[in-house]
Amino acid sequence: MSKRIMIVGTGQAGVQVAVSLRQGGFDEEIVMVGAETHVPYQRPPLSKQVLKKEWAAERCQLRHLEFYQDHDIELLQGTRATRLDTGGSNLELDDGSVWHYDALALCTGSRLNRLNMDGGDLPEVRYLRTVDDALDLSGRLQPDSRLVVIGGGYIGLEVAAAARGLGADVTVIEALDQVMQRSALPEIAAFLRRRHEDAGVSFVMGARVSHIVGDGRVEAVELEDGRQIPADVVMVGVGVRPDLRLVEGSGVETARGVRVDGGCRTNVENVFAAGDVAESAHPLLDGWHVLESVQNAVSQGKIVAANMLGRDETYSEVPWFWSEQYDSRLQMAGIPRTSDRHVFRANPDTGGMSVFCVAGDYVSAVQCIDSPRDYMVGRQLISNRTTVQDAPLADHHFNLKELL
Amino acid sequence: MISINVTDREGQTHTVEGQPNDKLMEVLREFDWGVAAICGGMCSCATCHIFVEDEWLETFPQREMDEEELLEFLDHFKPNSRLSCQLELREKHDGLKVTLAPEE
Repeated sequence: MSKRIMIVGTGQAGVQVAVSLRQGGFDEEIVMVGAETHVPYQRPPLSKQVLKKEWAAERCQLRHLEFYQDHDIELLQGTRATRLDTGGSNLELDDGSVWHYDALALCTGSRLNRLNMDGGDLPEVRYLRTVDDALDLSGRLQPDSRLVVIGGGYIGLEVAAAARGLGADVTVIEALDQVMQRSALPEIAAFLRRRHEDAGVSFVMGARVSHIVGDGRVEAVELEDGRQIPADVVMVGVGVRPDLRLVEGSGVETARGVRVDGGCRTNVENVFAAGDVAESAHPLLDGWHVLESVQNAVSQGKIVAANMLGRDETYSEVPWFWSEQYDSRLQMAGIPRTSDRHVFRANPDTGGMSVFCVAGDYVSAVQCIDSPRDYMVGRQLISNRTTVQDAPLADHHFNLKELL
Repeated sequence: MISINVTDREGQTHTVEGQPNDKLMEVLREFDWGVAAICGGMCSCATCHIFVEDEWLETFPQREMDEEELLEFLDHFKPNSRLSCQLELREKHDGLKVTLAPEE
């Protein structure tokens, strides 16, 4: 009987597992299961080019549909995996079918956190996760539409930038006193906030939303202090969490996400996890991390495929991320720790800047705006654990390449 | 239709086809084991690195500073290195020859 590998989730991680399995010479059965009906696609352009109507949705496809046919990858779309029986190595789908697997990749990604408040289900309260969400939101944003963004994180700010580009009037409400608090250093966050303010975005910081005002349609967002911010459309970007619905009760160990070792193996034999759903102890980072990024999904997807094929590979790439807001490009590598020193480096050529996070003699993270050279050097300093001193990092006349 | 000759990382040659105004990266990503292009063409990640055959180099605009800065730090950087997300195809590129750079 032929061997069957099943992949739950058709996002970046799931597709990477399938591609890498074929690339690695696996010539038996590959079955991918995904709830969405679009040809598997990448998400980063949704909050940028798709929202701004610069790209047709099809341009986000990771591969054309023919790729899956040509490589004999069975794509079960519009289908949910509803039950995982790790004892019998069976996966049950919502069409009632039961599939036996020899190996399973959990690539279920993340779920949106939703507003749980009065008015939260009004039709103009939108989220952005899928290509349909992006097209819907894009269609609602007209010049002079009043958009209120709840949550000043990555998604919220990327949507704010795109919406300004479409001529919408934009207000961002953030519960904390810094935007992108979870991912960006204070210096970087302050720069981006100024960039948004220069583009005409208003910020309401340190404010909590009480409820959404409206009778049948959104009229305003009311804050806990009673202030009302008029709105035609509300975009909610208040984070995501790993989608653990399938694994609950299956015996697969979870904490925040599905716990995996450096080889992306779960505690259950022949069950692996990759991407936004996986929680791993990265060799370069302290503690356990769920890394919500394309790079992590791709890197872990490759590791899952390699280890399914019996190689013994572990994941050690420095995590990296990027964002685009207006004409500013944010590139980040590593994960900052609260104990790090921050070394600031200006970039007079572009008006950008970089911040190096230094722990002892080592760089643990770097975050750069419009400074690709600093970013590329920073990535290598982190990965090689190069000993550094603060002064040359901070001196923009010093050629960082000399540190490598 | 613009035909492009691609040499993959195993030294095999393939022909892929693109349309005018396509980014070369998008054509190469589609091809079986082509470029990773993780950032989707934002000139942010340098995972769509290719070598352009010398006689075709001048058919593309020169590197902008951000492309230059990413490329110069790659282990496999060569004078004919380009990030394929920064190269737009034109009719004149019919017959173009490129080689995928090794993964970093």
